[in-house]
Amino acid sequence: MIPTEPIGSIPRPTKLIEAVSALGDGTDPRLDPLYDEAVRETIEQLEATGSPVITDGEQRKYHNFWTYSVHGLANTAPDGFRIPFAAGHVRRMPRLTAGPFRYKRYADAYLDGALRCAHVPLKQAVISPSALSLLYPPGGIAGYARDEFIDDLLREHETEVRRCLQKGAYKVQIDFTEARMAVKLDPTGNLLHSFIDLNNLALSRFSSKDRQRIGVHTCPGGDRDSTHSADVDYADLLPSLFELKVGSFYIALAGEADRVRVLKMIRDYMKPEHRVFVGVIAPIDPRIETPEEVRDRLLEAAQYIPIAQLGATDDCGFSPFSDDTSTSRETAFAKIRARVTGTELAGKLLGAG
Amino acid sequence: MASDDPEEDELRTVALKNAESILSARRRAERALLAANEALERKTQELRDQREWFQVSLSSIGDAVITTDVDGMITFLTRWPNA
Repeated sequence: MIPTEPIGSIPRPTKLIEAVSALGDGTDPRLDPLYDEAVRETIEQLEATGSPVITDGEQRKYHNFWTYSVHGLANTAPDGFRIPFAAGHVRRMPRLTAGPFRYKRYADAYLDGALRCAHVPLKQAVISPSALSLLYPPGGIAGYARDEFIDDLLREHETEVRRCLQKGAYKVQIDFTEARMAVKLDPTGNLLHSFIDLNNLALSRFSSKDRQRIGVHTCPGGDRDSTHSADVDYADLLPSLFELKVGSFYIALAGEADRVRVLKMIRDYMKPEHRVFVGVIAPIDPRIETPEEVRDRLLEAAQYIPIAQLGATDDCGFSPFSDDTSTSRETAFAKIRARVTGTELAGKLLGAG
Repeated sequence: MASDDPEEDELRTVALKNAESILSARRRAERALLAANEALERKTQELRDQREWFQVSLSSIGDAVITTDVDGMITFLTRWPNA
């Protein structure tokens, strides 16, 4: 069987988005019943697609995959850095104003409710230390050195991943969408290497057995059917990416203009202990892929990646930002169903069914 | 590497300043790893010396000594003494 896993987010139900908007803060306890219902319904729908591994659709992650762990911290301000998207809109991240740095919430909290509803293995996505490292301001913080912040950040990330593993997450996926952004910011590659170093410092705190349950996801960063780093060439990213000490890689591929070129790079740089889940569904494309398209994309990938190391995934979550309504829930589930069915078809043809 | 966008320049500055701290954290981790390796090597040598001492001691006594695991398989046997 060729393994297939989702990335994470599913668009939130309209009534949840409206309620969050009315209350002005997605962490208001009055939203709990709506969150519970959204998680339950999302898991039911994901299981109905036949997906062998699911997520909770990140229904409770507020406001997005990047800042959920720090949203509401008293020592942050809303005027941090900006992520500009190709479609013209921007998303702004928070800025740390004082030390010490501690997470407001760890992602294992989302597992509590989700595990009660799930009947198949459940994975959990967490944000990378490199993404959160950008919270520290350029001018520094009086009495809280950058070195101290990096130490705190590593410890907080380790705690989060360990808690997810201990609670029984099937996999813990580290979202590393800023990898391509790093290349864009610094084409010399030094910044990307620094991000890889930071993430590896955290990963080296885990046993090799634990690391087999940890994966890394990279994509050009999707939001409202647009991306922030699609113009970055995979050739500048993949050689370094495979230096990360994890067992699984989730690599956006369906939206790439030249998939074969990327597959050749993956073949050249992946290591024998790696499982590479290639993106066979493009969430930012409103068209629903057919199972046959998915099958053909995997047959193509199998020409470059050994079947024993191949997996299928989506290019990205379907709504990494909680207020993103560009894709409907129905479309997301239909696309996932196509991925699951298409992966089964490919598995049978490749003798892995 | 300056761009027309001051915010992008600022973000690049933050990231590159962080890189120095990351390098410093990596050096600290490497030093800790080196120290742990040295401690492990010392312990390994101590255990090796201890094992050798036991083997010599057991071999030098007059009686035969046999140890087995829970399944009764022999795991240690001293040379059989001359009758």
